[in-house]
Amino acid sequence: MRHRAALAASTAAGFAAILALHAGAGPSTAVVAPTGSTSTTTQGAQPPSGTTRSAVGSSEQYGYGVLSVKVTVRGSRITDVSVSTLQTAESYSQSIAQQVIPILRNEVLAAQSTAVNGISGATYTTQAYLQSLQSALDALRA
Amino acid sequence: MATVATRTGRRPVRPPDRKTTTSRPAPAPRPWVLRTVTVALGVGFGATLALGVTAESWSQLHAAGGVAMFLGSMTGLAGTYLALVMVLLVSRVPVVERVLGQDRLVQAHRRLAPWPLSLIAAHVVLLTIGYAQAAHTGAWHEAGVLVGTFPDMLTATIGFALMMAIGLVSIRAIRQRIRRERWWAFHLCMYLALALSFAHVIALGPSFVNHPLTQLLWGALWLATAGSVLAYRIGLPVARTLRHRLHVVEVRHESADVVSIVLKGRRLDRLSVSGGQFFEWRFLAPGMWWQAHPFSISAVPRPPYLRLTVRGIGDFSSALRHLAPGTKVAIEGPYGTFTRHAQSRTKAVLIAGGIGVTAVRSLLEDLPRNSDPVVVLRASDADGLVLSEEVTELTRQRKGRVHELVGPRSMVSLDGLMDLVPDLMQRDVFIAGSASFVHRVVAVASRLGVADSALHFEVYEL
Amino acid sequence: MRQVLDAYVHAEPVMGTVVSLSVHDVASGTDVRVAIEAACRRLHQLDALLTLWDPTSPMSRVRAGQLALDEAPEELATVLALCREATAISGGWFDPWAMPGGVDPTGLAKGWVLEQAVASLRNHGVRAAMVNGGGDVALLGTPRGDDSWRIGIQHPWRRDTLAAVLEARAAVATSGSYERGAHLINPFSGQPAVGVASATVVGTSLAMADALATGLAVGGDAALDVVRRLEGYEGYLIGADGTETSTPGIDFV
Repeated sequence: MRHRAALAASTAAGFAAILALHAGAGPSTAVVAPTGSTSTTTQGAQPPSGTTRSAVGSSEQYGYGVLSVKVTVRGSRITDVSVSTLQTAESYSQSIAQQVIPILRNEVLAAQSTAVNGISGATYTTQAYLQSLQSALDALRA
Repeated sequence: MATVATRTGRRPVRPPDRKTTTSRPAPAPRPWVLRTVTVALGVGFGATLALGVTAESWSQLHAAGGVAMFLGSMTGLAGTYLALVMVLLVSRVPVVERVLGQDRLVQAHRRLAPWPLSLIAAHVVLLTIGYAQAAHTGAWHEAGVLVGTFPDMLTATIGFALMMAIGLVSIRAIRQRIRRERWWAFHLCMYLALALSFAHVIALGPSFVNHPLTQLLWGALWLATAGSVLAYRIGLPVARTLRHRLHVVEVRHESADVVSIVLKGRRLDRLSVSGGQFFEWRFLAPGMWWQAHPFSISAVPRPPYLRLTVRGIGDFSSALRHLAPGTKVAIEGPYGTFTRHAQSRTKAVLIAGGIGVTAVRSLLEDLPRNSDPVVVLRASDADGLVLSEEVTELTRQRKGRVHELVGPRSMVSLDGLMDLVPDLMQRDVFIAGSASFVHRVVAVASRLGVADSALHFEVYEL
Repeated sequence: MRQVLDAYVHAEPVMGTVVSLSVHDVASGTDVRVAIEAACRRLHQLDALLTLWDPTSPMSRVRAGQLALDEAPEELATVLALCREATAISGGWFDPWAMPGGVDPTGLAKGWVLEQAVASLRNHGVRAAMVNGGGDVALLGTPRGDDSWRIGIQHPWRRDTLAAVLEARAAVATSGSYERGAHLINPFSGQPAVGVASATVVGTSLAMADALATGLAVGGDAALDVVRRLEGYEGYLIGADGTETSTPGIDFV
């Protein structure tokens, strides 16, 4: 039936359009595959010291939900850290979202005179938080 | 101006020529509307599905519960989109209704219904399982956690339960056992169910959290749907009712169980309605005001008068026989595609079964002079041939012919349609009557080779 | 004052993780991109030699007895020699030969490879840099305006917190069983190690720190005692019950 064909075609078109828009949009949601030779290079710019920029780390499944960390930097100083994606799977994770973020923010902010340079943690290929904050920091470093 | 017969006697009403009236026909339907709407709905659906896919990543899929959660998201998105389409289908948007007709829109609404309902049910089950797997607990425990602690989930759960109950009750077997008004009132609660479920999507859906643009677009979609309902289901009918202030002036008994109700109103010259269309009528009398019933107009409006003719079958239609003059009437509509605009050929044959004559009678008025219509009136007894004098006069004016087929079904069949209408293939076939009548005639016509595009029907729910 | 780059950052997927290289200071005339590219090439080259994920790699073949060590590339001998040293100084808590299936230098090799990347950067004119290989950090020089680097230690189960922030100048390695469960084997009992959620070692060599952190994750307080007596290395433990212990020389920020 003509209508079925029109429906199918327009559905495909809408689907493709969103995919294209998504691919063309922010790199902040890209997930880096552990194997393969893609490399993401962020070119250093020369930011004036008063600029505030934010970056969202890549979203990662960490077993209890999806977590992505947003880091706000003023100049070279981290001024705010917040969990930006929240799809929590348990009240425990929920309470993490409510309690721990202030702790994180205070810890990181208090622990710096300028910035935490890096994060050390046990290695796992898609280490959720590590990738997240590290990649967020990396994105801001540029 | 037509003179209206008094209650005591019957005087044939000579319907004047359409040219002397000042009421306008309904606007012509625009065929491209259907294509545009189809494409728009398709694009929206594809985009919605893509929203779900682009919010996913390989690492999420591989994690515990990842697949179930992904499928849960997709079914939720697809189900909700289709639920909004369901609402739009019956929001009576004029430009769409003119092309498809209220009947077909309701039919499409009914046939689509299982999809959003089952998708949303699947969404609930899949997400519960997925979250339970991720949290390494049992599904029932997880369900409790989801409802009890997650934002907006309590209202969403209530909405879900309401939605499933409404869906269940709408299954034909159950629907037919419940009083129509009660079923209808419960069905309207679907708006509430949807409203209750809106918030949890924005708060929890991975496509939406921290994506303000997507949230905005989703919200706009909902707003547009709600606006559509408010404007076209409520706003427009209320405006028309207030503008025209229709009230009963006469109830005329056409036969033992058929009455014509003549209404008077203001500014009927501004009411655009075509012959063959119907309104949902709400008679503002005690015991009747909370029901709206569809009846065709039985004559094109001649300002300030408007007429409908009803056969008393159920409680409601029988109560109409006792309507007091002065009773105010609220209207929704006009609806229906059983009009002159549906014609694809120059000539027509109009076939009426029983009370289906009302739509045929008003449609006939809209056919031009010399258009040579053939009218077939089918009734089980002579008493069932209401409005036949008017039909005969109108047909004569148009140089056509009327065939009255009276008698029980066992003795009268429509298989001889070709004999009655030798040039059937060159005519549009308009059929009005009960569902079984229409079905039979359509079967005969199709067997004889009448093309689908030439068949137009109005089914009377009796 | 001349405005300089904050840092030039590059992320390279290699060794089954993502290595983040950030260059903070270079000698004048240095092309940062060239230095980074060279370091990445070195990373891939060494990974290809040492990886146990690929059964045809030299290390896999040595492990399987298909290749003699003195016929293999010399990097393997270097790594295995370091492993023997690490076994000794860790009091046996790090023992690559106690692993089922043959010698498994993974606990040390990654740190060593990252150190080689830092060396490569230094050879190309980089004066200050951090190479972070999925949680093991090798450092060169100091970031501008500071005399040491600040490294946050991820909290083992509260994923969006840091358990602590340490000062370091050369190497930080963290090991733990919280991600993959019981993948660390106690060399003395042969059983999976439990009890330690996260073990961090700060020291002068990342290869050693990596090995010691692995041993610390297995041995807990007993291993911490060994680290305490070591010159140039400090340890920090987070137990599975949340208790934190550290050697006195750790510089918490």
